[in-house]
Amino acid sequence: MTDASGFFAEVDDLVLARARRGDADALALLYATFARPVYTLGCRLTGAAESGEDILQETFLELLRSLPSYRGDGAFGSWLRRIVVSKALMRRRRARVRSVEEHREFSDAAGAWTPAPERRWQLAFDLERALARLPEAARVVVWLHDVEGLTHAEIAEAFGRSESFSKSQLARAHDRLRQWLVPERSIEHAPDDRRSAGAARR
Amino acid sequence: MHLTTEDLLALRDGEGAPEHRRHLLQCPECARRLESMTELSSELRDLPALEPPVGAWERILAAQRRQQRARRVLVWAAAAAALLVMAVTAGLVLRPEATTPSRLPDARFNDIADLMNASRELEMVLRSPSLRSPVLRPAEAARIVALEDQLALIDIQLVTAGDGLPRSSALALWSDRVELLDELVRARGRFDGEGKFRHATDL
Repeated sequence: MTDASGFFAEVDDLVLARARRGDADALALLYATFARPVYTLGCRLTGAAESGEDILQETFLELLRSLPSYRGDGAFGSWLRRIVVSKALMRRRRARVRSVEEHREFSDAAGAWTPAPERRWQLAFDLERALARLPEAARVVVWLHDVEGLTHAEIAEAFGRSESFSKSQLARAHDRLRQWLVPERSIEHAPDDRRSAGAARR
Repeated sequence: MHLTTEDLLALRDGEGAPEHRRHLLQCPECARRLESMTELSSELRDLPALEPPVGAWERILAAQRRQQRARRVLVWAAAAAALLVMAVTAGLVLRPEATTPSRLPDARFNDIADLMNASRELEMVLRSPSLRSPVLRPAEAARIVALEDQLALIDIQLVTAGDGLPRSSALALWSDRVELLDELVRARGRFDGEGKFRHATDL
């Protein structure tokens, strides 16, 4: 299990016990330890800073509400991360009811900006932008799988979908990111890309 | 025929069919794509963590207090409604002779209209900007929440009973309401915008 986003920082049992009893200092310490991973994950999954702050708030409100019933099974960060993912997916479900974003996600995919893969700082900036621009399901899956280290089975469970859904969304994300970030490479395998994108849409 | 992105990602994750693995050994293009996918994942992991907005924790705690207050009012409302239903069923509320006010109405007020006016005036005072400054002491905040809960309970009784409330009970409830509002003004009045003590009568 990777800890690229900091969810597996060590938490003292005593701090957890105090936080469970509502101790303000212990709760503030938990916030100080996990605010960045929670906010970062919220922003990455939703692709927007405003939504990231909403998820930060919703997650810590849930933590304050549910901490007394947290039994300590598994890592605390893992429990917290599940809350973030669940909040992000809940927002996605609400948004899907309101919009038809999923249907237009590929229509505006042709790049409107020029990537600069030679420069690393530029690449990070481009990668941030490209990630935010991905269709939501593809963005959530690629982040949860490639960065947070969740398996396809775990992602499928979170989405309430099949593992093949998770795999096809991951392929979709990689195809798009590669196309946007390294355009010359995407041309080389055009037939396979189409096959993969077709499979993803199914 | 080259491997699909899904095939390559499966190989990257240590899965994938043996024939795909064999293909990879013979196809430099697919091997290069697999390498670039691995690189991409590594670059994603290297993206910097983001700093939460300043003051987010304070906003979370404030939202928690609002939620707790809303939940308490709901519990009070449910309890009050249940009690009222029981009281009405038992004929206690609608029979004036059976109703005992919690205490005698304030002698300053002769009728309900006076109490309603006093209520309105106190509510206006409570809405004044100088009384809306944050309460800093936990004990004061808890007292204000308790007063607001009691106020909500009285409002529920007044609204639920409506015109069917006997005059003596209505007088007692309105009198209690005025007293609670007065206490609320005094509780809030201790901290004005500059953190100075100010009594309600001075406002």
